Amino acid sequence: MLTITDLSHIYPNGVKAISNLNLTIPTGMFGLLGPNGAGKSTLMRSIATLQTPTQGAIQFGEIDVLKQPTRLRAQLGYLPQEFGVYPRVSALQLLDHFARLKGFSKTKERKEMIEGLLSQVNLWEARKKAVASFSGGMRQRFGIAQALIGDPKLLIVDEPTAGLDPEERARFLNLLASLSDEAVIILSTHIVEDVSDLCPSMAIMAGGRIVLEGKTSELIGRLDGIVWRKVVSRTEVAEHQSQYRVIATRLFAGETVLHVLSETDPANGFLPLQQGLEELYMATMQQDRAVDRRTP
Amino acid sequence: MFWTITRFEAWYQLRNVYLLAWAFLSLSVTSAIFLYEPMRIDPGESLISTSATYFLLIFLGIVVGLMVPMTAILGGAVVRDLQLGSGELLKATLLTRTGYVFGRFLGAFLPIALIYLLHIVLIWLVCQWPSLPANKYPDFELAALLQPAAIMASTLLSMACILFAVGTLARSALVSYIIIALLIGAWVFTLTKVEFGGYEEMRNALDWTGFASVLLANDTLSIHERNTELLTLSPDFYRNRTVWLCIGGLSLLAAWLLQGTRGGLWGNRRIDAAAGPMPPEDGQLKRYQTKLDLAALRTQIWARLTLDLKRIVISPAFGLLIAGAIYLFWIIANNTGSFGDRGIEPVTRLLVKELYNPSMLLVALTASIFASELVWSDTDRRIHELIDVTPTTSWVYVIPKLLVVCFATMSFVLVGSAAGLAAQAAKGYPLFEVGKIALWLWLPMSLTVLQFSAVALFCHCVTPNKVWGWVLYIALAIGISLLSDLTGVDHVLFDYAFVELVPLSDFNGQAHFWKNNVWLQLHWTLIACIFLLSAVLMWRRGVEQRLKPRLAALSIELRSATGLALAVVCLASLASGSWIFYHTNVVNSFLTDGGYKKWAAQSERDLAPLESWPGPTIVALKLEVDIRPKKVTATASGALTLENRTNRPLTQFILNHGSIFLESASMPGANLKEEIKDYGIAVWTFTKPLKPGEKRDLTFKSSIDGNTVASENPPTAVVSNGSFIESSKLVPSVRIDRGSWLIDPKERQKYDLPEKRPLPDAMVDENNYTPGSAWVDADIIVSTDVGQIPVAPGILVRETVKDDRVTRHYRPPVKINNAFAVQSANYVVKRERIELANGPVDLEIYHLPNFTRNVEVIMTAMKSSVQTFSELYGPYPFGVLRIIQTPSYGARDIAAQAYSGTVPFYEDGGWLQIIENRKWVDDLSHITAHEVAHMWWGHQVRPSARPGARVLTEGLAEMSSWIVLKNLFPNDSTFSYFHDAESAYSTGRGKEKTGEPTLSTLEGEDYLAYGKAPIVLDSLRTAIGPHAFDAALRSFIETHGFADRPYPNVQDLIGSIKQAAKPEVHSVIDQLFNERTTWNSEISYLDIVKPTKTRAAVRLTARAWIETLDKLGKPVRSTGIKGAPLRFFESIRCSEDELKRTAELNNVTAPDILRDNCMMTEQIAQYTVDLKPSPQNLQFDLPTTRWGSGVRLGDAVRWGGKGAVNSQSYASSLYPHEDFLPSQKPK
Repeated sequence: MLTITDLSHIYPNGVKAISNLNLTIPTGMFGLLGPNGAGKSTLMRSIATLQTPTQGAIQFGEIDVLKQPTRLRAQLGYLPQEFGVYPRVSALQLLDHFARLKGFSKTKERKEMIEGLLSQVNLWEARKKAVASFSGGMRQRFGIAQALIGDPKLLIVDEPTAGLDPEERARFLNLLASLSDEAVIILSTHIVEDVSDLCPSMAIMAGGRIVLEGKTSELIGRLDGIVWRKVVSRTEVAEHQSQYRVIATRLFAGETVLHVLSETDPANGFLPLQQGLEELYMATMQQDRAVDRRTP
Repeated sequence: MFWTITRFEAWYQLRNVYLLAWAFLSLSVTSAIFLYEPMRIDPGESLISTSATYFLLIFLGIVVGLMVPMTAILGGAVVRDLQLGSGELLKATLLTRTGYVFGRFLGAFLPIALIYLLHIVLIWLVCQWPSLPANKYPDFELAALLQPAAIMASTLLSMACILFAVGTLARSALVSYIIIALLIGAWVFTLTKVEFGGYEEMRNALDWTGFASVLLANDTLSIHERNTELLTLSPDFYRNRTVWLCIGGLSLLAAWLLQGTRGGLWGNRRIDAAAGPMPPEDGQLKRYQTKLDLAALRTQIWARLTLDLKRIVISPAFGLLIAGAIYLFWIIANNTGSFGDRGIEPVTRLLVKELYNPSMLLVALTASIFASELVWSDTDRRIHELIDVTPTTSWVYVIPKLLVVCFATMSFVLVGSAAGLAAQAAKGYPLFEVGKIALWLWLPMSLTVLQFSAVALFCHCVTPNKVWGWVLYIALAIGISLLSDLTGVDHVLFDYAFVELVPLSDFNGQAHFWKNNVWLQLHWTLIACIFLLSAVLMWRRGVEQRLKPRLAALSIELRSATGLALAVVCLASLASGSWIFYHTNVVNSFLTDGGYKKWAAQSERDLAPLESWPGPTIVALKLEVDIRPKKVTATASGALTLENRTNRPLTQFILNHGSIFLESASMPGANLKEEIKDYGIAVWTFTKPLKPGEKRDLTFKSSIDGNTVASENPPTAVVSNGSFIESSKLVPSVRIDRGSWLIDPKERQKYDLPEKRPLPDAMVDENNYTPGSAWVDADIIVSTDVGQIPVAPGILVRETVKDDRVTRHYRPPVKINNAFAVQSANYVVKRERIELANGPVDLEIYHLPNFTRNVEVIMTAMKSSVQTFSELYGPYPFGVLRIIQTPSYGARDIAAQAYSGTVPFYEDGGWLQIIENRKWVDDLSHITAHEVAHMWWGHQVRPSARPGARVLTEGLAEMSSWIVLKNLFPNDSTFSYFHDAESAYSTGRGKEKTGEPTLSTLEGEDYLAYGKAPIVLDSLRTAIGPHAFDAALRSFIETHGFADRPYPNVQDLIGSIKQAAKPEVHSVIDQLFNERTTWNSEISYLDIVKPTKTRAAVRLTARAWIETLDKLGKPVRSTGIKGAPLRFFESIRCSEDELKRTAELNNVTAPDILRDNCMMTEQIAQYTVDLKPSPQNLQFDLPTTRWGSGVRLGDAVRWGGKGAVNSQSYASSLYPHEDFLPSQKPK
């Protein structure tokens, strides 16, 4: 279990990226959603020992992450949103390098592990090619492979499926799911579906805070009967926005679809909507913005 | 579009903070050089401040300084689009390749040009600054500023083109910086280190600044000419500029072409590797657990080591640096075989000496390059987050990087050594003494490499980016040392990792001196460990670049084993530093450079009043020196016989032991009254006054201990083999010595000392060798270990061997100078005896057993010199003449020196010399003859301390040596020694700091003593007639030889020469000794018409004049020359005899190949005319059928005939051509 207590981080330019954040993440997949600038990456870097927070504590099992970073790293797999590679180094060589750095001293064992990972992420054919020449998707698959070295007990993945085609994405999600029995896996993503498909628990971050946290199914259930949809013309959008709590404006088959939040039936052509995580996220963000506007 | 790009680029670059900072710094430094005296650049020409030469130097510095921002700006002008990805956006516009490339170039160059222009304006302004002292920039001319500015502007432009191309080609800032560093490095070494022999044109072509050819063309200008004339620009200069501007243009073209290739913006781009098809899922991932044990740590370190090593070794930058290092070291190593202008054997000792400092400098510079590359590469490649989350300790990063930086920097030392060995082999020294190189160079350099690598890693680890890393590195590794030198706080403990090379000698390798360096190396290695451990503790991980959070975490990190190790190392370094400080400052008296000057100034103020004290004179000396080579010590006990040669009783005297470690001194009837310890001066009082004519003995004991700790200048007098102890290091004197007083006019002014301090009357007629000492009766006993020969001046009286000690007793047959040396080494001796009219003379050469190559040459020159001078000037008085091979520790670039009857001949200049052609004058014979001549000029005639003294010693010795050379090498008509003297004078006078003295007022000026004086004496010998002249000198010796006060001075010599010369020559003698004059002749026009077969009508314009110059070389008076002969000549082919002689002299086996080029001249007619300084038109009607070649007036020659050009039609020399002298015959 990962426990984050009173975590705050202020950058030198004064930006408060995380503010008194408390979070407990159990074993299994944990989804982290939030808009750009919400503090997700700062949080994940702090957990991954890449950044020392201004204050607070992070505990992973018996490990005090901030005081015993090397102990945590021995159990950590990390895939950042973006990463570079060494030029002229093949996937096999680079993965071998990471395996060595993770402490795998036995050549045979290392070789087996690396080959298995390369097969898993479908890079076996390209294993001797320079990673620097990989396409975006291939590089992402390589990143996944390196994060999985050494059977991590804490796996932090930031936008892991970005750039993957649907088939690869499904394959990767299955891979993650297979690891989730014994590890804490934090999945930060903008693809809400990934969280809803995989994560029994989740949190939504905004403005450096956790604005919503809980079991995914329970959180989605909170929206039962309060989300409504209506197809409107473009000219009607503004009028509806002023009258209702619009949480999302979408286009579907060339028409504008409004999602609104209402405890009661808003009538006026609105139909009840089958609730999902995306609506939850939108609603939460809408509420958070409303709170922010009210805060002097 | 071109102008749009240009404007944008110029605007963009002008907002570059680093460029603006650099401009500000450069402008500040430039103005400080002019306005702030301590920063003033002094090229050794203090009297030259507003000349074009001076401004050229300034602009050279500005341009070299601008290379750094130029590399960044021009190198990155195109590359940044590729790096930032903005190139594709630009390419999508209407922009063309031409507009893009040339627009970017011009736009990037304009800010640089603007900064350069600002420098010109700034210098012009500061030279107009009203508050400056009026005499500081008195002759400022705008043209003198603009001409060098224009010259260097051409350099700026050509280099801008090259740097732009390099940046575009390399697409790496590092590679660009390395190339510019190599260019600057190669330029410095090419200019300063390479002896090009006959390939000066190559040097000029390689010089990308054009500076060398300008300097060469203006090298012999007088101070006045430098201050008033613009620079002479030679054809070499124009060729050089054309070549480099063309290279610049071609580089620009290459940059344009490169943009069209695959790597360029306008070329085809690389396509990513394609992803493979998705295979079906194949089950669960097998799980592997890691275990962080020792094996894992080894694996981690090895992984990083191999990766870092590959990263450096396969980088183009490393290859470039290695190539550059090979080139630089090859050039440096090629300099090994030279001593001054002389070619010597490139022994490994000299090779190491040449390689040591450049190796250290290269290590110091490149350590930071590699450290910065390694420390920042993960971050630069954005892979650091993946790397940093692995379970590795900081050691896993630091140790491999340290080893790789060490490997990379040590590679330069190794390839440099390989280049050196190759250069040795190419010069005919194929011994490949790798063991010596390993011990003398690689071993100390490996520690240096470790020390610089550690500090470099530390600097790049704790700073937030590469720029600050470099700033901190320069500050720590170089800045502190430099700053301590500049501020005068130059303690050895400030010079991080800069440990001097131990003194090396062929006598005993590095002798005991390595012990002196051990403490320094230990100390700097401990400091390096502190840097290293600090780097481990503060290693940057993750995304945080700032130091502050790491410092905050340091309190926790320090509690680790690494922290404990740091504490231990800190304590150890504190202890080693304290030990060094104790030895430097407490055991020995330490003075900084500034402190020393202050001390010297104060000593002059304090001791000057004591100079006029009447004192006793040393008339005899007994000395017993006990040399202990194994212990590196020597002790001396002796007695000085002091005589009162004044006409009054003496009540006190000064005992000056200076820096001698005087253990005791005693004298009957005298007591120590006061000791001025700061200056090593003791005042003694006679309890019973020393009556006129009375003698008393002063006994003393002194010692030398050669064992030192961390001394920058360890004493070299006593060594295990090759001890060379000058008497001044053991024997005290009884007068104030001016040796340590300040000479430089600027420094004298700075320390409020008078411009000159004339000698008091009591001292002015003392001898200038050993004031307070008459010619002394000497009795010297020297003992040393068995196996070595102890040597001292005088006839060997007795030798005893007892208890593994050999003792020799020497007694000179005549009085000698109270300045000599005792020596000891495992010599073998070559002996010969020559019988002369006044008895035999033993000639002995003491040398190391394996140094036999030049023994015969030296012996031949010795014999010839002793015979010649005995015949010309009188008998050789010392009975035996010894030339003694001596380690070159303290040689100060001189080849040999003379004492009474002994000549220590330093190992570099003498024993390694390569003599290729025995028919030509060689320097070894020259030096030998010169030193032997001192046995008459200096050790029989000893001048007084009055100005002009060195004419009587160096001038006469040098002139006399030429007589021997003419005898020994009758076929050598090149007179190289004569031309060397001319060159020494003409270049030396232009670098005078206080103006050129005359020969009769010269004091320390080498260019007059060794340059003008022998030329003047030799030309007077020719003019007066050798017989009469030599007889005059013989008579001079008979009068003044071994005579005590009053010692002779230059006016006595002039009087003797005048006595031998006709009265018509007296004015010439006065001009030569008492004035600065040049003798000039010119034939500016010549036309030949042959109206008939038997007659030739010649019209010509000629002038001849004597010019008198002031001390700056400014002409103050010109007078014509009466009775100057115009000689009409014809050129003819060499006779068979002449052809044969020329071939023999040049080692040409087939004389026929010279036949077409060997020409002689034959005089046809001669007319004598009175010529004036202004040109005169003359017409002659020559009754000849043959003539048709040219006219000679003194040294000026003009060839006639169609299209004839002759550069010698103007001639100027500092001595009169014999044609211009009144008719001379021996009286």
